[in-house]
Amino acid sequence: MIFVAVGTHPESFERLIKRIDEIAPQVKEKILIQRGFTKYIPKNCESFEFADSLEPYFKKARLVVSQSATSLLEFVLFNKKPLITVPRQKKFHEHLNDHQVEFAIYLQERTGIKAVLNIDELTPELLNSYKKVAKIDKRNFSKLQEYFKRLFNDIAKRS
Amino acid sequence: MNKDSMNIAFVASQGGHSGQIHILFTKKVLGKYGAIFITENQKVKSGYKVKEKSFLKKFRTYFFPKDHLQLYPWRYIQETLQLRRVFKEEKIDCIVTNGAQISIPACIAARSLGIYTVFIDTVIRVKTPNWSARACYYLSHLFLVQHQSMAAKYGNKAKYEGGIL
Repeated sequence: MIFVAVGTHPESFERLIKRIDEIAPQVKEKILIQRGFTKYIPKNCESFEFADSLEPYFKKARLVVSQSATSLLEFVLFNKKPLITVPRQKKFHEHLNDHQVEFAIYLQERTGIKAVLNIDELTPELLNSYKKVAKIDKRNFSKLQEYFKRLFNDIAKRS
Repeated sequence: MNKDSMNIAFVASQGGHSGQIHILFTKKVLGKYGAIFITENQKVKSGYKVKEKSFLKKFRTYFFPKDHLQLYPWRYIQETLQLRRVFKEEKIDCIVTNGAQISIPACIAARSLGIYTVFIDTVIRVKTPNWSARACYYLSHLFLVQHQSMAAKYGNKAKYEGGIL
């Protein structure tokens, strides 16, 4: 199953959902879309608005296609599954600013997780063949956690 | 005075900011210290709601109204006073905040009580500083960024000690 998620941001993300709907007939796997506040209802694949947690869908999916949100961090750090991110863009009125573009490009450079900036790059061939699992270097993460452990001990001594 | 116990308040708005707090501050990182978590929820219309045993399945979470500060600036004062009361009641020794808007009244409330105030910038900003972080740059005792390149964009006080990614 390919799971597509646009999250809970109040602005529409029709660009992604329409594109997936368009290419769905040529994709070999079943596609499920979490469409959030986007009004467009896909005709060629199943979809739903919201769920308490997207975790079970992430678990079931073979491939995840998602908006480039910070909420993906946990997925990026701990799931060993292919991921493609499509950032919401200000010029399409999908977000207030372009921080998702910034994050998507960073993720791609840092981990190899594919960022789709031009929606035409999202092709049936890409979805059918994308199997790349990002390798995450967790050294900076451990370093920050260790720093906080030390910091908390220091503050406790001081207070 | 040396003491073994300490209470930390983690403060972050809903979504990605809260997510980063959850990823970073595991039981292992928190160790023997006590904690509360302060966040926002759209279901809360005024004041705040408390949920027991929710943060790390052990500590209290306080929910404040979501995104209401931007529309009604006077609420900054109201929320600062409410947070001040919570910090006092919970005997907070240190706050750690990841943004966004809620971190401003939280830093002011903490500073007014002499509580050690830590701001950690969001990992999602790689190139451009955001405004709530800029405000907290002046309000915090310790200001951390999650990318080496971001430190210079805020100022000399900004420190890089690692990042989630």
